[in-house]
Amino acid sequence: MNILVINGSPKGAASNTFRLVEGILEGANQVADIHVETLTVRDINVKPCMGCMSCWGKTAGKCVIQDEMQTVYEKIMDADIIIESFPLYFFGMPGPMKTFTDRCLPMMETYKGEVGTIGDNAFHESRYIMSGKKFLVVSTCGYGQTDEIFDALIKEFNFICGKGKYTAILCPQGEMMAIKQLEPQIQAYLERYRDIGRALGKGEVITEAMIARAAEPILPQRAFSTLVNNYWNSQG
Amino acid sequence: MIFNKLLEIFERTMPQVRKEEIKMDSVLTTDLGVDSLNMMLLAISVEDTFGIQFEPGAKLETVSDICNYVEEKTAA
Repeated sequence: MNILVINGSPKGAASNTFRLVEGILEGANQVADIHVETLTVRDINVKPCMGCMSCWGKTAGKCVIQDEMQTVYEKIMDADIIIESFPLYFFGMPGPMKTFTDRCLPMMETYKGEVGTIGDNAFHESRYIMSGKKFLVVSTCGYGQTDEIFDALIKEFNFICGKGKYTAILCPQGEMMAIKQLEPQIQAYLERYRDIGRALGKGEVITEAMIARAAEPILPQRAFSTLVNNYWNSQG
Repeated sequence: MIFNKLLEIFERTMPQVRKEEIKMDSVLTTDLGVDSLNMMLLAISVEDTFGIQFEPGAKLETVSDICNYVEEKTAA
């Protein structure tokens, strides 16, 4: 089972979100023979899309920019499972991840001017056969909730992939993952992500209940609020 | 009853402490390893669970201190 992890956090391997993904991978590894490749977006040479639209015309399906993204396309096509991992920055994906995502445009069919109701469907058909692959988006936010906070991001992924074609695993209170004193609580919390990984490894459905558990805050709201206040007060 | 609920709270807030280690006479700091952060989590969870509020300076050194405090507040 080939798993491609795309770590889009500007913090790289020190990412809080990535810890959750490591939990998922640990769970998958317990039940399946997995091969994991992790791409850290901030460390690879991916230039911004120029909007030349050649990938929809003259070089249909191929980007003209010759950088590391060319090998990433191949890795995406070789993967059975693709996991994108990034924190929410200002209600969207972080800059490097957006640059990466923009460069995925060649994988979409050409837009030919149709106008209509889109709803939660993908705006573009995929140019390549992706039906056998599983796609997970794992994201944390620094807020105490996931409701509404992630709406813009989810809408974006619905347009890109279509609702139901990917699984979003969203986690509040992401910064709590970095508090060393909370390590026992974090390890217990990560079991929820290991559960998801085990389901993934067995080829089972990641249930709504699993997603809901993963979206529960690690700390009671008042404790979280106290810690956040203490932190900012300590910063003068 | 209060003690059993307290065990559940410990399980959630301090999963590193085994249930069998938690006795009525356990000292929170030395026996159970409760530090200031854990104390805050415990206190908030106890308050939320029992609908009470700890007053500043409340003596909470042992598990039985918490149980007694909760019993007193909820009986009132």
